[in-house]
Amino acid sequence: MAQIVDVAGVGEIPEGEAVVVDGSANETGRDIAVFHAETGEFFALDDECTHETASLADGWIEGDRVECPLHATEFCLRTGKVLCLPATESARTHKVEVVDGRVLLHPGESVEGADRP
Amino acid sequence: MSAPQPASVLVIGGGPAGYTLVDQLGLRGYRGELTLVDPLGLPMDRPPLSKEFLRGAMSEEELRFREAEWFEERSITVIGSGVEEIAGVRLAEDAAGWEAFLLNGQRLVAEVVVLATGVAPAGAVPEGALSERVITQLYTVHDAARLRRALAPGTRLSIIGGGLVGAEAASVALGYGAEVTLVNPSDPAAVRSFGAVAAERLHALHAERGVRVETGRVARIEQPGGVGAAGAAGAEPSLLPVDAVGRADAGAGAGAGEAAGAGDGAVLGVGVVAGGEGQAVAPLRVVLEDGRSWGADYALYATGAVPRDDLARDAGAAVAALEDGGGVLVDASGRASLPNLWAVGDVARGVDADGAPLPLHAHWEAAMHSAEDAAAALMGQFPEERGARWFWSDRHGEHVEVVGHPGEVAGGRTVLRSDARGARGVFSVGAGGELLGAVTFDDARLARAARRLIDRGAPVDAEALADPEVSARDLVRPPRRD
Ligand SMILES: Cc1cc2nc3c(=O)[nH]c(=O)nc-3n(C[C@H](O)[C@H](O)[C@H](O)COP(=O)(O)OP(=O)(O)OC[C@H]3O[C@@H](n4cnc5c(N)ncnc54)[C@H](O)[C@@H]3O)c2cc1C
Ligand code: FES
Repeated sequence: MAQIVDVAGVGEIPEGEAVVVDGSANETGRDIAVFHAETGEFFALDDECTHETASLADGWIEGDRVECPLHATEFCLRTGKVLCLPATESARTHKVEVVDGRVLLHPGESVEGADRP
Repeated sequence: MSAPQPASVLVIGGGPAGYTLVDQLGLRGYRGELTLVDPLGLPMDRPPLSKEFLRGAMSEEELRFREAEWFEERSITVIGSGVEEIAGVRLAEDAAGWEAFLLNGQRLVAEVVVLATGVAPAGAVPEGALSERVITQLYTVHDAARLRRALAPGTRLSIIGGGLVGAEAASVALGYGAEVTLVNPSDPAAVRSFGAVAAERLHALHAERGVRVETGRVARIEQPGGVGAAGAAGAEPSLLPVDAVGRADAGAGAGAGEAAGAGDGAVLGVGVVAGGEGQAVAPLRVVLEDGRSWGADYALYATGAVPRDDLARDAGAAVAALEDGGGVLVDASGRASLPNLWAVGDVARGVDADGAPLPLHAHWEAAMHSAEDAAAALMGQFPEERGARWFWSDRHGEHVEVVGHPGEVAGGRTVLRSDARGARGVFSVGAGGELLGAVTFDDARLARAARRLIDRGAPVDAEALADPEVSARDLVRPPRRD
């Protein structure tokens, strides 16, 4: 099992915002974006868009989707599924849970139903 | 789900629209025959050709949406990569479907034909264009690769046309250390795309970053060395001085009485590195209608594009007049005026309630959306609601985004948003206080917020728009007050 990363307190990531867990601070070696969706839930995807070089954490978060800041590909936050062009590859998901008001990330552990497990 | 599906669909063109169409048909449960034809081969994206690909940051493989196996797995037949261009289509005798004829003589039949043929360069390419040194369009990988090979420190590149593609190419060329001259008939360029205020700012960036900007119309490109020069060029021997770059540029500046900035030495001081002819003779000479001229090693035409609607025109389908910009006239789902003929992407042109062609909007996302909508309609499904349109462009390191209808409107106002880094957004607010359009600079969330505000159609808080302290999200979702 991957090492769990304590990302932040629930209140520290406003809804509609995301924070990046640096690749050097998690076992996957890749930057991971942790999103606080407007639904109140937390999700995590690889931060780099599967199309070109853009940080999904800088994207627009709405419902359970994030829209890439560069060319507007949308990804489902729940499953990582790519929902439109120009990206054609889904994003990798990582399990997130909230325990005692802390947002805990399980790097490298894809969520159930992930489009790209 | 049980709506009848066409037995066979032939998609002509494999740009973003053609690709989206075949992809969407599959996702929507299409089980019939599906064929896509494009002489350029596997479906490919275009915007990176003047950006990442030109910069050398993206390969030809990466431009393809999918590899061959993807199409094979889905039983989609892709015909192309050679001379397999569709030369004509016509309704079959019994009108049960279409016949398409390839340049190589092959004949294809399909119940439904979808035209996704995109655009062709606008305007006749003038004399001299036969030269290896004149790139007459930036549309294919081949064009972009030619330009890329030409770019090196000191290469004198003249770009004809300061629109979206010309401007992007200019900024990428600077990155190679090229000496870039950009000529456009108007100053600023691209007012229709950005509105005057944003266009002004964007056009001014060129000179700020070291592009020599000229305003005028190019009459022709001459080749003082004569290699491959078009015949008519010989009729003006006085305009063919085998001359040093320096003198030509001095002449250009003086002759036109240009303000500072033109002929300011950006090109004057450059020694010829290309060609290896061993003397300072520019291989090309760009000549404007007003007589000014200057030397160049390479020239790129980026003078815009027109819908490649000739297949529909020849087949007798309704198309917009050429003077009106052309385009296959379609309904909201992409149906053309003949049975089982559809058009999507840049070649298609919607009509307003009175049947008059809507303004052309040849941008990437719109092409993709139109194909999605056509796929839905072909499958008897409902298309998605579409909000304000959007496109992006990258120049001089800035990610520019345009949503809705930017520009100045009667009775309305223009709202600017700037922060310590400079301008972030230019908003066009209508007479009723509603947001009509916006141009944003390096601020993705601002663009997305603007898009949502436009879709709401309600009066906007202009003060908040102008205030960089109000976050993009808060523009859309005002903070709770307690
Ligand atoms: C260099 C460049 C940069 C761009 N940058 C941006 C940008 O930053 N943002 C943005 O929003 N938009 C941009 N665009 C515009 C965007 O790429 C287009 O709107 C989009 O490609 C349109 O897609 P399409 O599939 O309708 O047509 P196209 O992409 O033009 O594709 C049409 C295809 O049809 C094929 N074809 C044509 N005739 C035939 C025939 N008779 N038989 C068979 N095949 C045929 C062609 O070979 C071509 O592959 C750019 C365009 C270019 C050229
Ligand atoms: S980088 Fe994300 S869509 Fe292009």
